[in-house]
Amino acid sequence: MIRARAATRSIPLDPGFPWEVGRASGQPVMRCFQCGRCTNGCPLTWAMDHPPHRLLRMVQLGAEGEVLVSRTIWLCSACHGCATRCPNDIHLPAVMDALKQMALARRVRVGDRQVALFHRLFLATVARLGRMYELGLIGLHKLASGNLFGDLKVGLLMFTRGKLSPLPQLIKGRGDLRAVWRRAAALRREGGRQ
Amino acid sequence: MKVAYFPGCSLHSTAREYDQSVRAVAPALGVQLITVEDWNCCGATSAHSLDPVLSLALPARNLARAQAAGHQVVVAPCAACFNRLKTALCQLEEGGEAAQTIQKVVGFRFHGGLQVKSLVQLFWEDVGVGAIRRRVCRPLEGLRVACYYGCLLVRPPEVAAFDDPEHPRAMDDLMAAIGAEPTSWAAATECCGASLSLVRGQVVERLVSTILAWAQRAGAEAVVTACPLCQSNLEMRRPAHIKMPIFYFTELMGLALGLPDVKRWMRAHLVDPAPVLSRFYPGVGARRGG
Repeated sequence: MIRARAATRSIPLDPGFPWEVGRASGQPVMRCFQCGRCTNGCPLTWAMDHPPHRLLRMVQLGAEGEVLVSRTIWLCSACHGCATRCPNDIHLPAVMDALKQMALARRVRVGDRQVALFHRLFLATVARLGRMYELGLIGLHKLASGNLFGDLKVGLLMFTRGKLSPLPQLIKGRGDLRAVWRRAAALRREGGRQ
Repeated sequence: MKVAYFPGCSLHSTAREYDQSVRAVAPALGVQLITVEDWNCCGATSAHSLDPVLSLALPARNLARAQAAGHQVVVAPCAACFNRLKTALCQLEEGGEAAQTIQKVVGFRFHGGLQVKSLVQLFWEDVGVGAIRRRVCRPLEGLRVACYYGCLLVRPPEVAAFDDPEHPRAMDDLMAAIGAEPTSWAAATECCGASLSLVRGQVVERLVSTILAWAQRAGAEAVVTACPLCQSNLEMRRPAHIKMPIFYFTELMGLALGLPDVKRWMRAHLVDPAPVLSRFYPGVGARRGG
């Protein structure tokens, strides 16, 4: 393990990490030469702990520990502005997705637990019903996150305008979907063994 | 023209008025929409964030159903659904390892010859601006609109393969065809924050206030979108001092084509559209009698 000495502290670096991220995301992460176009066009840098070009540099250097606990990977909205403009054809949202999945698989401290929880509940809802059920998802998220009263006013307004349907819609092919989930999980296990 | 219609989850809840206006406008332009039978959620941001296999398999199940029904074109009004369906289609067409995985997980054989289009694309490429202009009976003359494309209608370019990813004009052309005046503005392809809205409302508020400020600066009276997340974020997360209505492009098209249900669609809006629309359609508003 190499240790890089920064101005204030040293962090462990893993030279294998960029290759791992490259394989998981299918993206040529080593091509990045820090032009910064991704960060210049990113609408969310102000909310991130590391701007996108810096996060990618950290990936290249192998700063796994810092990268996987970053808020950046959860706050990326996948707007694809960066992917459209990258001169090296690195699809950064795909890198962000791979990093999210690695962070969850390695059980590190998640950079934004609320966002991760939202994605989990969203998929759990679709797995059971086949379609999104907004009111159910909002309720589940409120219970699980403990933020019971946020957005109550705008939520009520949406409800009275008929924008939040009180009952879920269930598709007929829920058995189909269960099979899709089962086969996807089997593939994941296979992938994990390789 | 017969096409498969994939409404997507939002069009059954937060974007009900989008669904209603699409189902009214399409037939008026000679497009017959046949809903994909027993469609499922495309997985949206959450699937591609957490599970690469599901993120392709969920949209692919819908493509499989459209293929089984003998369709050639699948149309998605929601920009996010369009992106997921088209991403799955691109992978299937490439025929690599991902294509094998998708077919195995969903349990179907892809034959090819299927197209996925956004609704803006269908109206712009297949119906055509001229045909739309000829059908307008109530032109929205002098209505200054900022056409808001957001992210996924034109990006990433290798997937969307439609219009210019940095300076799109399809929606501007459609608005010009119904007599409105599209303004040139800086935030046309900026991101609204999309699904961060539920859990990171304040982040989205800041993005939305920037977008709306640009629209105001460009002299727009309203913003026009083709995405349920853009529309609901721009209305829900707006700063209190900007009261700009956010329309689905199909709502304004329906109004210009003289379709009967416009008032019903407008009642679903959180920002009252009456101040902007009453000069074209007296009595239109967010509430009955209001």
